[in-house]
Amino acid sequence: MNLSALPRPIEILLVEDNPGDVRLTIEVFKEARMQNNLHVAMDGVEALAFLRREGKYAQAPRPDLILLDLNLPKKDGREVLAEIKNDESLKRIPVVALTTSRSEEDILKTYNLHVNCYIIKPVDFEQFMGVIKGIEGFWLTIVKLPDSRT
Amino acid sequence: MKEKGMRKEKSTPLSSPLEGSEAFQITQLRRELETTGEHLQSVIKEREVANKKLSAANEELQNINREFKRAKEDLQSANERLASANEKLRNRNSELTQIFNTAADGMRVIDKDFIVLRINKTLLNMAGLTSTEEVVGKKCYEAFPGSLCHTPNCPLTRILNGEERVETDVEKKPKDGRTIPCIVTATPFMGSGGELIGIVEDFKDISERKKAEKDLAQRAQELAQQAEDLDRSNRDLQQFAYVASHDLQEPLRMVASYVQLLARRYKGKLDADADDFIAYAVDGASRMQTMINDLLSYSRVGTHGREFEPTDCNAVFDLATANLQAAIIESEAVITHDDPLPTVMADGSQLVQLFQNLIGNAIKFRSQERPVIHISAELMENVRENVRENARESTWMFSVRDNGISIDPEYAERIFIIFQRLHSKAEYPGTGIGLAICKRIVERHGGRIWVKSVESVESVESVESKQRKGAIFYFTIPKSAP
Repeated sequence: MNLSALPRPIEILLVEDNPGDVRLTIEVFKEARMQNNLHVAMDGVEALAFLRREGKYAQAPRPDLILLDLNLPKKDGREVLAEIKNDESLKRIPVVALTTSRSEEDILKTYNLHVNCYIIKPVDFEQFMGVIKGIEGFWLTIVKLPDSRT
Repeated sequence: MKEKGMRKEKSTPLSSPLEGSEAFQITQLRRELETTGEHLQSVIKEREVANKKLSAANEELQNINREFKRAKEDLQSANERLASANEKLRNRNSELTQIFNTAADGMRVIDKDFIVLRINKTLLNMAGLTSTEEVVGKKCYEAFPGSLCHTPNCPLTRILNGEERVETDVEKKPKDGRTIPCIVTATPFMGSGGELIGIVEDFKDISERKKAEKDLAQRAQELAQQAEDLDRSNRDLQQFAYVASHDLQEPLRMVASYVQLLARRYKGKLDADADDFIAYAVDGASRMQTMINDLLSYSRVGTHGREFEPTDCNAVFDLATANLQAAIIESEAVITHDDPLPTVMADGSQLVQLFQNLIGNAIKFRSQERPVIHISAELMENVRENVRENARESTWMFSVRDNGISIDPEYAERIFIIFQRLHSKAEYPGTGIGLAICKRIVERHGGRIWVKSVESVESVESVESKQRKGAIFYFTIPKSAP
């Protein structure tokens, strides 16, 4: 049996500083259809360390999908986005901005930095679940992700 | 001797010798008689002539006398007329003097050399003087100077230069050191032959007016300051409302989400009490979310308001009813409007919100029958419904009339307050923000909103009030932007 042909769990990096939101996301992803590993970085610096496999993240897997909150301490989410999209080895990873900001300016700026899509975090929990399920349904099921094992 | 008609007897030179000396004497006598007679006659004639002359002279004298008498009479009556004319003139003079002196403005007449010819009491008082002697005959710039003296703007100078009328501000300077702000109006003063004698000056004391102007300006400044303060306070309040509701979202999201997660994960797995507790918590949290969202919508009427532009209310109606499709279908509501509805200066999206809220309410608060809703618009001329402007203004008055449950007049004002509801949420859903938002939108547009309940009646008078119970919401929007 070719082990590499077995469906492996999807690796997702969640970059989010609000512990409440982190836990919620984790709980919802638990109910996902596809097997997934949700990794969490609580600020921008940690996120980039994870992506570059620095320090304690030396053995970190390359994520298939990044969920990025824009408002982060230390390094702002927009900066992280810019660095990801400018990094040869990271720029192919789809980044989904998942944030509370509704400002038109933010949306524009973020798309200008080549975010793959921008989602406004719904206030209502049921809707939030719907959004996470939607992300899963679209990005992890319908969409063909590039092979990240490089 | 015979006097009359003595004929001259033919004298015969040699008649009788007897008669010689006697005849000679008689002839002599006759000749003397004749001569005397002739002499007498001529004397008589002379006397007759003289008499005639005297008579004529007498007549002439009498004529002269008569004329003299007549002339005397004429003179007398002329005298009387003159006296009466004089009297009238004196009266007129004293009238005019009275008028001159009681004029409210100070007045004076000065001649071309700046000499004061006349001055009225008012100006005398203004100058702080008591008698006209102190002024009349003196130079005007010495008697009662002012700020225009010896300047090109001096009214006399200007009129002498050809101006027909001078009206200008001046500060008069009476002897006591005060200054009196006045408006001086000067006009040419003409003599009886049409020649320019000098000018008439009228001084209007405007110290009262200047003071009033100063007070007004001060008051205006105070009001402007107040308005600025109010503006700032308003903006602070708005910002507070926006920030508060915006920042409250996140912790609320945590509470609501986790309680809902709890509900999902553990419903039925704990005891019934826990289920109840969770249900109440979930309900409370979601209501709070709705209220905060409503509060945000309410504050956005101000912060997200857009510039006014011509807005077609027919399109607004269509959009609002499109947004309410689900409720309209479900309730089988019949919604009509005046054809056509007008175009007004407004923020289109806010107008849609307004229509939508009012129509939505009409559907929501319906009675047993299917909702019948009608929207009308009427142009009111010169109505002071416009809150912002006091000027006479044309205003559109809209009405949204329904046949749902009516509103007790006692609460007619309360329903427009934030979160004020007249029913429990079990009876009718909603947080009670709809009408508060309507009021805010209407007032932003410079109008007013109010409600009238229709209690009964098949009124005999009007075919319109065939409708029974219900409510009519009225709101006004001025024709042009405030």
